[in-house]
Amino acid sequence: MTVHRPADLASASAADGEYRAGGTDVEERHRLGISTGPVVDLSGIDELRGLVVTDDGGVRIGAMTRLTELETLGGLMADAVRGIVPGLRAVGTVGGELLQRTRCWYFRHPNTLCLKRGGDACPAREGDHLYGVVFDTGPCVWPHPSSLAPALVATGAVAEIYGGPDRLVEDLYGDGSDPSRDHLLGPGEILVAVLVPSVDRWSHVRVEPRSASASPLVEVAAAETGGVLRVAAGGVAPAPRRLMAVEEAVAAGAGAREAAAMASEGAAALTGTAYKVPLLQAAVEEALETLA
Amino acid sequence: MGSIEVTVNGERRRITPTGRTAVDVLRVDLGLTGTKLSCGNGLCGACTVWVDGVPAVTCVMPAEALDGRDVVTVEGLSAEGLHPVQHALLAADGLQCGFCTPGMVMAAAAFHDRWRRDHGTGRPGRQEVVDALAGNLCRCGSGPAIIAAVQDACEGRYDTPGPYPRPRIDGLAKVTGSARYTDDLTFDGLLEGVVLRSTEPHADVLAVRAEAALALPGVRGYADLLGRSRRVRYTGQPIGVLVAVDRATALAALDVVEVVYAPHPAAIGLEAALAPNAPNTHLRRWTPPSNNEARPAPARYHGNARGPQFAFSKRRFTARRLVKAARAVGDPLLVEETFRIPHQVHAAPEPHVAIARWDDDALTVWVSTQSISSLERKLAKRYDTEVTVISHHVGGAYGAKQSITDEVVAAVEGARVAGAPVRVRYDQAEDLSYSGHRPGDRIDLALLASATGELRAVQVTSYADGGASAGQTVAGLVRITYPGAPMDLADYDVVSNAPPGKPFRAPGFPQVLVALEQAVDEVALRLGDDPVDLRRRWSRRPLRHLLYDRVAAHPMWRDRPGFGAERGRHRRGVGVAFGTWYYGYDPAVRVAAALEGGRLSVSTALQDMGQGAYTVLATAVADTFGVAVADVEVRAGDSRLERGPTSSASRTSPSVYPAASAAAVRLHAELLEAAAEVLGGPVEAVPGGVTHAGEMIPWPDLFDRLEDRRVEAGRPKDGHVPATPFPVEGVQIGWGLSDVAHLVEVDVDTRYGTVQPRRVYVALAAGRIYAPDLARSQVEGGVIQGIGLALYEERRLDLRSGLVLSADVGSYRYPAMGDTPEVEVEFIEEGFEHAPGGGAGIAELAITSAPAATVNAVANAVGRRFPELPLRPDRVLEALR
Repeated sequence: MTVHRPADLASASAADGEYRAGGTDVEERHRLGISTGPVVDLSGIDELRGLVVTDDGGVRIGAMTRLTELETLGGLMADAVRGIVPGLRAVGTVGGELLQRTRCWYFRHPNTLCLKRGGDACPAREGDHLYGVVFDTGPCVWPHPSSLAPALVATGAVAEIYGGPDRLVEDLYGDGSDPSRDHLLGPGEILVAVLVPSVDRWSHVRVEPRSASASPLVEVAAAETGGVLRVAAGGVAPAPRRLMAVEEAVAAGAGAREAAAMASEGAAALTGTAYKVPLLQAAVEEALETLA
Repeated sequence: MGSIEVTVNGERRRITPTGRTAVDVLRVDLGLTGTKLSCGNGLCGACTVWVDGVPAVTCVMPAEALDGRDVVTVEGLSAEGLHPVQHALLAADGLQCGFCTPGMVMAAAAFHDRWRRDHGTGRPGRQEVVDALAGNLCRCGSGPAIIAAVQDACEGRYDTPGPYPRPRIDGLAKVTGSARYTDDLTFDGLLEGVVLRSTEPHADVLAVRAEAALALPGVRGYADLLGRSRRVRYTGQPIGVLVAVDRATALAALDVVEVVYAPHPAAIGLEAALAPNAPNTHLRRWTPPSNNEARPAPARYHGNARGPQFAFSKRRFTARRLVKAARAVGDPLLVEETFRIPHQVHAAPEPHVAIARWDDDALTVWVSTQSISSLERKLAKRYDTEVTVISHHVGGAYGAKQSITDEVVAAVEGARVAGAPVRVRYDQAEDLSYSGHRPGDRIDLALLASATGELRAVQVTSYADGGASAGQTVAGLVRITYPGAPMDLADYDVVSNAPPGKPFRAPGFPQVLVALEQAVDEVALRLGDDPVDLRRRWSRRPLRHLLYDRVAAHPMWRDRPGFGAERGRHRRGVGVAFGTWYYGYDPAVRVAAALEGGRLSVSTALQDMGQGAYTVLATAVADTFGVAVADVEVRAGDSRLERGPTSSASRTSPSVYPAASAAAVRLHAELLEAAAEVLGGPVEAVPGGVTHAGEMIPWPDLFDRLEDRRVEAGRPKDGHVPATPFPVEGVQIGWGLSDVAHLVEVDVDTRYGTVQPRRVYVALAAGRIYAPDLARSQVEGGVIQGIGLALYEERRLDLRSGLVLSADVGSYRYPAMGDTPEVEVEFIEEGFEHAPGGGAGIAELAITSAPAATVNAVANAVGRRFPELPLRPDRVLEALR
């Protein structure tokens, strides 16, 4: 593996290769042989560091902040990363967690082709997609793997980008219609930090097939800021999904169960993933009930 | 980039990352092999070290990330005496194979230190320990002891240097990371071999064009592994091995090897192979490799179904007739169901790895194996040469590492063409795909009872899904479980174009008991009878009745909820099931006991995969002399020693303990005589020494004055004629069956269909237990592996390509620390008085009925039975609907 280690954002932006933050995803893919080529290591760039509380009570989290450091924040951010095992939290970073590649077992298999690896079809769609999506919004049927993203989307967090415009975290991912992308950052664009507003109330629910699963079946984050509630889900769509219909139902005065039933609006489960629909609704219901 | 500076265990070191991961630098450049590489994606925790005081996985950490940081490995932690957590793990025997132990130690020690800083000596809750160790997987299932040990250490019970109990003789080496596994070995000039695997599920290999690969710099040879038959029967089947100076070079070269296939139609998996017009997956007269201990019995093919074997049936036409008649009249006491059991993968933390070296005509193989002696004999026969097999520590096996496995052949053939030592080490995807599995199964079961609760007939047909392998007896095992009634038992192996199975702890039993013990519970429910009382009527064996009594009196059982009676979101369920295993031993083992240089020693070509075999061996000698186990030196792990048993089929302890005892008794007698001579008068043996002239002299004081001597012994004959006339694959089936009861309590979250195992009571009747602390560990491990099979584990196979999709521990989900119940183990040390030493084995027994009891517990909670495993949230929710 060829590693470039630029000292500042400008040279990182100009460097050739895949960006590597904590490295937990990049190293795994290189070990598997499913990714090759040079790597641009971001660990030497000071601008990507730092965890500071902003004047309005929010927090600015540098992209190279380790996930363990989020635990010190408590609240939703800490809950969101608690499902990632401790030894990985110590190595992985906020930026890397948000911009990791899919954990689809076809994509991660050394001997397959898929839409993200030069194939012309998604093998999971016709094949085994037990842990696949219920919002079939793109050619790929594997859910986006980030645990942090749903929480950030729920808070209305903003991504600070070098080499491109800042944008809401929920706009980092698109709708999944481009299977080659796990996020929408272009060449030379670097996630510098996320700006997380303070929230008044929040909740987080994670449904796992087994304790400490690498990928939960469903996870739901809800956060309320200044009377505005946002609800987002992971494990169900090619991109972290904001559940607008649930938010609207709550705003219209619906109870938790009634609002949670709206979580599946727009869902089109696959043959193997229909079971996730009631799980999603139940998780949303619990998230709404436990909002505190 | 250039070199970086890092502090490792207090020393400033300059390292050159060259695009590698931290674990590679620690293990290879710095030789710190206590840190293990297992899963390679940060999920198992075996590679955990402290980085700036925080436990971190190093297998996915770029070495560059170590720049300027402070690293402590298990070697550093242990440098100035043991950490309290290490003392605690040793004392509680919170380890088995030991491969995950260094990572576990680092995670637990960090938690301990933080806890003590914040809470003094308060005892942490179970959940707090579980959270800290959530990323440390222990496949042997030592979770209960590990959690308790960490809690104890946090209370300050191990703050002083000790001494504390150390029941496991190789425990110290394992908790300090100094135990060297095959995967830790390295040699000058060692080459790496990678296996060329079929990309076709079913084909003839017409040609392999390796010339371009061989021309690449650093490539040292290619050897064919297919042999005369050029047919590949599953995707991933080894075709050849490519040898190069390092793994990266070998993998790059593999990409340019061209294989020309003539594909045949394939049938991948059970359903495809049984489909009406399924392509033929086998050649005529082809005997598939075995997924059991012995070679598959001769059988005919019906389509792709090989069989049936019905030798265990009893009045099978009567059974068939009774079931048919009951079905015709809709008899409510006829329970019929089709059960589906998933494939369970061994997933040992140390991958399959072998190093082979040819010197002139002699062959030496270092290998992670559970069958040193038999592997030596088989290799010697195959290659007609002198063979040495070495395996000092084995990082988990569970059945998959016996006999001549593919990685051994690849290393031996690779070493031959390269003219240099070659290592073949499976990566995680290879290990979880191709190194074996407990075959999946479809079981058609009909069980008929009478209104008075008598068992009238059983009909079981098993379709074992062992891919390109055969030999799984499942249905036949009903016979030794409930032998009374007429029974029609048919076993088929369905041969398909999928990776072959291997024996997995108690082959066949977990599968059949999941079906059978659920059916028995259903009969009890329909009769309004107590499930234990009903079973009591179906077995006459005294040991079983002892277990029925124990369970019936157990508070967990007495306080169980009614079937499906619980309400509310969280529902408690309690389930029971009973299992059986044979009493087997290897009659040909030899063990030597010796006094050498003032120390007792015991030796045989035995391996310890975590089951505690080395400790049992030492215990036999220690018991005879009345000295401590630690006073006995164990020499094992090397085929040049006396012939040892294969460690499978629960035969190790019943084979080596009696042989070691016999040797020790003779050595003891000789040393008594010698002592009398040295002391110049009569001596009398007392525990731990001799008395002479009214004075007790401990053996250690005498040993220095006695001459070295060595005696060898075999295993004394049993006090009862064995059940089979001669040993098969080194196992003689002795007289008597061992029994087990599993009682499991679960919590079902009906909102999500998730199941949390809470408590387990397990009672084993297998005669005398030689090393109780270690036996308890082994039993807990069997229980947890059984819970895994019931609740979480399933190999997932792509039915078009034949690729295994659950090829990492993130998607092959075996129990983690948070899935660990509290386990109470009871040994009933009766029933094997006819066995020399008095004990039968327990490894298989521990898992047999654990899945069935777990399933019965969930069924009890939700009021529905489960024909299909594992009990994933979707299935539990479906049952609740």
